[in-house]
Amino acid sequence: MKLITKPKIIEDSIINRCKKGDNIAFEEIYNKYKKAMLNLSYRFLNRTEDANDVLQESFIKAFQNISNFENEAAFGSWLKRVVINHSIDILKKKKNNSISIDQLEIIEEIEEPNDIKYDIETVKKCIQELPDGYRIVLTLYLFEDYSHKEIANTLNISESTSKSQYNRAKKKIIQLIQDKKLDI
Amino acid sequence: MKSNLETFVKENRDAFDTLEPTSTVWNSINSRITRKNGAASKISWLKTFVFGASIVTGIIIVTNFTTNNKDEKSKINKNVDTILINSETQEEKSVQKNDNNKVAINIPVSSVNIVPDFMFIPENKTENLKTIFSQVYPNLEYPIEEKKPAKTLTINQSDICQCGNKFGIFILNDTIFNGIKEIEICSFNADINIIGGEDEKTYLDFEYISPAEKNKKKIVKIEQNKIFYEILGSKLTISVKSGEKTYINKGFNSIKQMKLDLRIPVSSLLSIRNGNGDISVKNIINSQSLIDNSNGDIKLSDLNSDLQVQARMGDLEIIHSQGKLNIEGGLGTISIFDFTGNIISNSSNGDTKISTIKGNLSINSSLGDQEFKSISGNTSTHSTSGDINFYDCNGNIEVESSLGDQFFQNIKGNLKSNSNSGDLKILNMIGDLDLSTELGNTNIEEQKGNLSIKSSSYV
Repeated sequence: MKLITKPKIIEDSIINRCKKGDNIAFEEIYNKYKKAMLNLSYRFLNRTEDANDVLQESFIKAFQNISNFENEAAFGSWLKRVVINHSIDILKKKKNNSISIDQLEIIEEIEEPNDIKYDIETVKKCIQELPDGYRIVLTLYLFEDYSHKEIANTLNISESTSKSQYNRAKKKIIQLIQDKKLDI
Repeated sequence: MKSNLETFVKENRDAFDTLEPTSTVWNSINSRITRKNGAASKISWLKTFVFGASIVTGIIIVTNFTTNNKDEKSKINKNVDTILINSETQEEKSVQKNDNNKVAINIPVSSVNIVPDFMFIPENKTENLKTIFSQVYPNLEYPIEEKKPAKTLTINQSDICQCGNKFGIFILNDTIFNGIKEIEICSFNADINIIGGEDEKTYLDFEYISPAEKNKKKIVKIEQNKIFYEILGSKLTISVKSGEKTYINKGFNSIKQMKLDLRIPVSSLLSIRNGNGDISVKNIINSQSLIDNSNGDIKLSDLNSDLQVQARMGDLEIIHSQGKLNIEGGLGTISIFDFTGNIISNSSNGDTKISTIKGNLSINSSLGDQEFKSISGNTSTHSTSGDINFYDCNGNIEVESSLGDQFFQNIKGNLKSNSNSGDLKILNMIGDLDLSTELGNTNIEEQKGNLSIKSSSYV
């Protein structure tokens, strides 16, 4: 999340202004994070309406708790956590309260074919086609720069499960991309 | 070393984020946070709007009737009949002249006196007061022409407000009701504060902070009344309605804040349904209470009641209370401290912290950690994900957990735990132990009862 890594002094200034009830500061911080958070949620949920709902509720919750953040606090990290938790919650409700993140045998890092060429739209489509468990782990690792340890803590799974899910997700994406190219 | 896919995503990271939120998202957020922010600035005047014509019209009429009781400097405290607040359609609700339902109003004297018992004046700047009143309430007889009316209500000129082509006045502070035994509140968005006391009267304060109060030069348009209440027998029903932003002055982004304070007889039955805003209830002893809040925190203390609580978005805190407790939690944290009675709680997202309980617990949560301390009754808990921690518990414990670690310390009763994954650790336990885990480590130190373990990894 590149936005979070901006100089802290700027971040702190906005947070402090929010604490003082400055509406413009709330809007600034919303504009700063809205796109990243919406797309994060969408990669979890695969549904724009749900992602917008998550965005809305997460920001409200974050803003309501903004007084808990001191100057050094990483508001963005916490916001991201709220978005992730809320997205998982929505996903669980849609899947009868369970997301299948199975404990699978660890597979080694797969070798990608040399001739495979990625393009953004195809990769996005392939990610959407992944099973929930694969997609969540892949999203956190590949797009949100989470380590497998952080993913394990976030999803309450083991590190090895996270690695396994990620490698399988990657393998599946490569397979999907190759299939799509064959279709073409 | 990064794979080609990882390198590709890293190099094109921003291009993957193409979705933009809909404009309604910020509008919704803004409307809710501005209400919340508004709570920071308090104005103590208690007022309810009733509709009327223009401010100018109002001022003219007020000025025409500044004749009675000008020298009176003390507060006027008169019994009047039930206060009526008409809707925008000018529809008269009812006029109750039952002595049991009289309402007393304390109003600071300032500029003008008018006859009470209604709070709506039709637009007619040329009519005199008597004519206006007789139009509104033709069947009522008031001593309007007497120099010192038996029933007098004083309002300030600044209490005149505009709504469309009508003008109106405020009802003021500390409205008092007698003989109320049941209270129902239906509110769209207000902070609600209720305190029970030994007094048999019910005191209602309602704050509404309008832009007009902050800047008299701004013209404010109010689309609907903010508060309605009616009395049927011993039941008081209060409805607080929301006002949307309807400011005529462009760019004026002030906040409409509503705050409802009630001091009620300690034994009153209570039912509260609120949309946005915090709810606080203290010192109530009754047979049952219903509290439902969509977005905002709930704080309950010193209650003796069978409680049904729904906290959809905010945090819930219950302290120093007793009775039966049934909770439907949403996204916030549930905290219960010092409670006597059985507790049933279901929550979807948010931590559950329960301590110092004399009673049995039945807890169910989807996300969020659970922590239990000093529980004297039996506990049955189910968690989809999140850690579960028990400390200093005397009763039997039954745990069903899908994800998350479990920790138990100083447990005197029996423990039965069934988990799919996550580590389990037990320190100092006296009762029998029945464990079943599929994944995760099991570590037991000091356990004196019978032992039954099905675990992939037991230390």
